[in-house]
Amino acid sequence: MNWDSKQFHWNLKTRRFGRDFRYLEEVDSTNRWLSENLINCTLPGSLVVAGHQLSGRGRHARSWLDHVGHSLLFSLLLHSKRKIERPGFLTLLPAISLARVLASHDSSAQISLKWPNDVQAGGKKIAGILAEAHQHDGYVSFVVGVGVNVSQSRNDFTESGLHDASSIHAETSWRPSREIVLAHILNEWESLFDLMLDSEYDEIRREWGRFGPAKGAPIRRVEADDVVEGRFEGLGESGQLMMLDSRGCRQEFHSGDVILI
Amino acid sequence: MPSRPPKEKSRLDLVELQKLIRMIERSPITEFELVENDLKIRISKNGSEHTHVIAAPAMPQYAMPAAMPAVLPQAPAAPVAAAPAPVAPSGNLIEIKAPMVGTFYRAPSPDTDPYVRVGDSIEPGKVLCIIEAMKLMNEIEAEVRGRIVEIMVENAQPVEFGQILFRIETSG
Repeated sequence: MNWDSKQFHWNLKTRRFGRDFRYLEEVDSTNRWLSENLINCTLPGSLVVAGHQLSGRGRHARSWLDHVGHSLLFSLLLHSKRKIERPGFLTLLPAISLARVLASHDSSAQISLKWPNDVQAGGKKIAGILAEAHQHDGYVSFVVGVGVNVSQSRNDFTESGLHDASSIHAETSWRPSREIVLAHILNEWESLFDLMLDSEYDEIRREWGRFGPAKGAPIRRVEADDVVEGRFEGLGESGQLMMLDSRGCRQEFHSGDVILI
Repeated sequence: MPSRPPKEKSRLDLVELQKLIRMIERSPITEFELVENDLKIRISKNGSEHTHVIAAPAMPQYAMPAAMPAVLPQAPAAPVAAAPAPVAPSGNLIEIKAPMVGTFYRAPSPDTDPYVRVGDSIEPGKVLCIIEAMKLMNEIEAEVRGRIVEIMVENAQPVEFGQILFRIETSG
């Protein structure tokens, strides 16, 4: 399925994000491609979109299933002359962006964020984010990779044994194209990124909190063999997970999977 | 109950231990000892720069840095920094410390080779490891030329800000 650049650009309202744009029919991973071609993409907000990823990756090299024409797969390059104080927040922004977009198009859809940055609709994962920080010549570039399930049917996932995954079309009343979804995400993301450059971290935490678990919600945090159960407390200063464990002690985590129990 | 250093609990977990270390690191305390049943923890700051942790048994989750021998439970407690290094250094030794809190990874993915091994030569700009925080994979690069003498953290273990990751013998 071809990429409709006209439709994408028509809906894009950003100043920087996505203005330097390329579409690749097939690539091993958009993050890798962008990392290796950084030198050609000197503008912040450079974007690469793939029709198909041969080795899309999640955490722990979990593969990201993509359906050609139905999955939106892209990576955005971010760098700033201003020091980014809390880079962990960078990966929250695209998740908040998508959640906002979905909520604005279907106010009755059940949109939620799973810490730190999985986007869920109807309790099923519809988007995942994985980012890389690269140092070079004394400054840091961030490559933020996003995969969004746009128009698959629920069957497309259950057939692959993915019972916790779904798509925008399957879980909401909105029927956008990949191009529209991407333009809308970038429109939101750029304004959130500007908030971050202005160190408005509390504002970003509040936005995340609109879609995150309720304070006090019972959660389980898992990382390898380490399992902690407790109650969700909120996001910490750096965006880390704050929870009260079963003994009532405050714990904080910077990585791992979190599920509602 | 707030997370005070526990007196009535029988066992510290990893996170609490890390918090304790951080608190002590930031405080003027130079020595701290906690003994309780089968648990003994001694933390001493050698000079003002490093914090050494000695943990006698019952620390199931805490993977001691590489210098701790594999027979951890029976091994006599010894300051981590004072243990002999696997590769005998001849030049200047420097430490590379974690610039952030997160999970330490030695390789870009579970099925690939580690970025560096003990004995490897490194140059400025060489990626040594990744620290992941909030699904952001932060590459940690060497800033010096030299050789890896010791890798202080096991793969996929949490690291604290300032924790020593590598010892490097510098050259040139």
